[in-house]
Amino acid sequence: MKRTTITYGLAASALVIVAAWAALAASLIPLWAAETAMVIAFPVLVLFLGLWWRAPGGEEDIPFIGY
Amino acid sequence: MPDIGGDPLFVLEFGDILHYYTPYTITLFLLALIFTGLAIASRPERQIDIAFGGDAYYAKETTVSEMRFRRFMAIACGLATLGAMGSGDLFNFTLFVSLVGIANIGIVAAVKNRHVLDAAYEYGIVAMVATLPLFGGAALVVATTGTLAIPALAAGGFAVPLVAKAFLALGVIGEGMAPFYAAKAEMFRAPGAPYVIMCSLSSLLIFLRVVEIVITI
Amino acid sequence: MIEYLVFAAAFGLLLLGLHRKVIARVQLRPGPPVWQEILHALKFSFKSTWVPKTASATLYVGVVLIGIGIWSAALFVVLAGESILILFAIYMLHKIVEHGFGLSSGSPYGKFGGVRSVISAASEIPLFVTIAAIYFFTDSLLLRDIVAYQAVHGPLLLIAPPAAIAMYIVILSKLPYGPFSIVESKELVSGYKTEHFGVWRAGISVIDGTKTFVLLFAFVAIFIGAMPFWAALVIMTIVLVSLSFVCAVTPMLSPFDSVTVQGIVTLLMVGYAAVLWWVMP
Repeated sequence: MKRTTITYGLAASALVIVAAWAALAASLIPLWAAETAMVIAFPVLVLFLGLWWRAPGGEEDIPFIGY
Repeated sequence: MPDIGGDPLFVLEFGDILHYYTPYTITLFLLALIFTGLAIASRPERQIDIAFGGDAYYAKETTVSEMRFRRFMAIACGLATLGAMGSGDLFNFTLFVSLVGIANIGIVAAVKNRHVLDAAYEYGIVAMVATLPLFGGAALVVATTGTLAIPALAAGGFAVPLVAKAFLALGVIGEGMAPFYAAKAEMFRAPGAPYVIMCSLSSLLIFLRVVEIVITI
Repeated sequence: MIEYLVFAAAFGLLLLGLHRKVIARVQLRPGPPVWQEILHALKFSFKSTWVPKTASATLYVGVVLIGIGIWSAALFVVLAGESILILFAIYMLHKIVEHGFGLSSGSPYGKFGGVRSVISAASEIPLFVTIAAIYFFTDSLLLRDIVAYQAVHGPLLLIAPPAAIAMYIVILSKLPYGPFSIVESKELVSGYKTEHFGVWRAGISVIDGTKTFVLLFAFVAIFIGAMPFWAALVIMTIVLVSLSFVCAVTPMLSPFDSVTVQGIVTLLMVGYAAVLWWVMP
C-alpha cells in the first residue's frame, strides 16, 4: 500500500474515534452508536498505525548463512 | 418478546410471520454479513502441499469455473444464514437451516478430488437425515401449541414439549455437522479458504441461534 | 471509550506476561519480564510487513480486523451489562477467526492449527451448559440482572460451583501454554498464527490481550458479582495466577485427548444441568 493511503487511513480512523468520543461527551449521539463507531474504527487504527510506522522495505538484511 | 438476547431492536411483520432482531441476533447477523462479504471479495488461497517423501512442495490452484460455483454456494450459504438469524417463525427457521446444510454440501462437493467428494457425500447423508428431526420438531410444536411464531411461544401460556426442543437442537446439530467433519482431513484437501470458512461459520451461527430459540420457547 | 479499549488490551497483555512469568518460576526458570508481551506487540508493529503470495489477501487481512472488532465489541457488551449470550457467541466466533487465520495463508501449519481450532469446538459446549445453569437461578441472561441477583443472594461461585468450574476450564483452554492449547502447539510452528507476521501479528497480540481481559472480567462479573474496578482487577490477577499454576504443571495434551477431556467435562455439566432442571421449581 502507498504511504499516502496509509496516512489517510490512519487519519480517518483516528478522526472517527475522536468524533465519536466528542459527540458522546456532548451527548449528541447515544452510547451504542459511539460504541459501534469505536468497534469499527479501532481495528483499522491498530493496523494502520502499525503500517504507518513500520520499517521501510527494500533495504533487506543480509541473510544469516551460518557460522 | 424473548428477552434473553436483550430487548428487541427491530420487528418486521408479514401478517403473523415476522422477523425480529435482538442485540444477540443482530450481532450474529452482522458477522454473517461480514463473512459473506469476505467470501465475495476474496480470491481463493493457493494451498501449499508437500510432496510425500521429498523436499518438493507445490501450490494448488483453484480453477475459475470451480471458484465461481463455490463462491455462488458460499453466497447462498451466507444468505440462508442471514435469514435464519432474523427469522421469528419456527418453520422459516428450519427451512433456512436445511438450506444452509444443502449449500454446505455444495461448497465442498465442487472440488474434483476423490477424497473430498467422499467427505461431501457422507456429510450430505447426515445433512439429509437431519432434516427429519428438524422439521419434526417444528411439526410437534405446531401440533401441540397451534402456532409457530417464536414471540407468541415466548410470551408463555404454551407447553412446548421437551422432545420438540430436543428434535430442533438435534436437527441443527445434524445440519451443522461440517465443523465436526473438519477432523476429516479430506475436507481440507479442498483449497479455497473463504468458501470452507463459510461452512464452519454458518454451522456455528445456526447452532448459536437454536440455543436462543430453545431457551426462549 | 477508546481508553477502555487501550487499557483492556494493555492490561490483558500484562496478564499474559505475568502468566509466562509464573509458569517460568514454577518450572524453576527465570522467565521473561512481565511486560514482555507488550514489548512483543510493539516490536511486531514496526516490522516490515507484506502479504504472502499464496494467501487469500482480503481474508488474510480481514480476519485481523474482525478479530480486534469482535473482542472490542465483547468488552463493550460486558461493560454495558448486556446479554452474556452475546459474549459467548463472540467467544465461539473467535473459533471462526482462528480458522480464518489458519486457512487464509495457504500454509499447511496454519491450516492444521485452524482445523484443530474447529475440532476443539468441543470445549465450547460446556459454555452453553454454564449458561443454562445460570439461567435456572437468575431467570435472565442479562449481565446486569445476574449481578443484581448476586447482590441479593450472594456470589454464584458458591451457589453454582460446577458452572464456575466449567467456565474456568473454558478460560484455561484459551490460554497459551495450557493443557488444551493445541491450536498453537509447537509441532505446528505457531499453529494458526504461523503465517501472520509483522503488523498482522501485532494485531493478533491486541486480540489476545483484549480476549484475556474480557474473559477474566466476565468470569469475575458472572460468578462473584459487583465490586469496585480495582478489586475486579485484583481478583482477575489472582484467577490468572491460579490458571498459570495449572498450565505450569500439566503437559499439553494430544489433540484427541484434549477433545476427550473437554467432552467428559461437558457430559458432567449436562448431568449437572439436568439435575438442576429436575430440582428447581
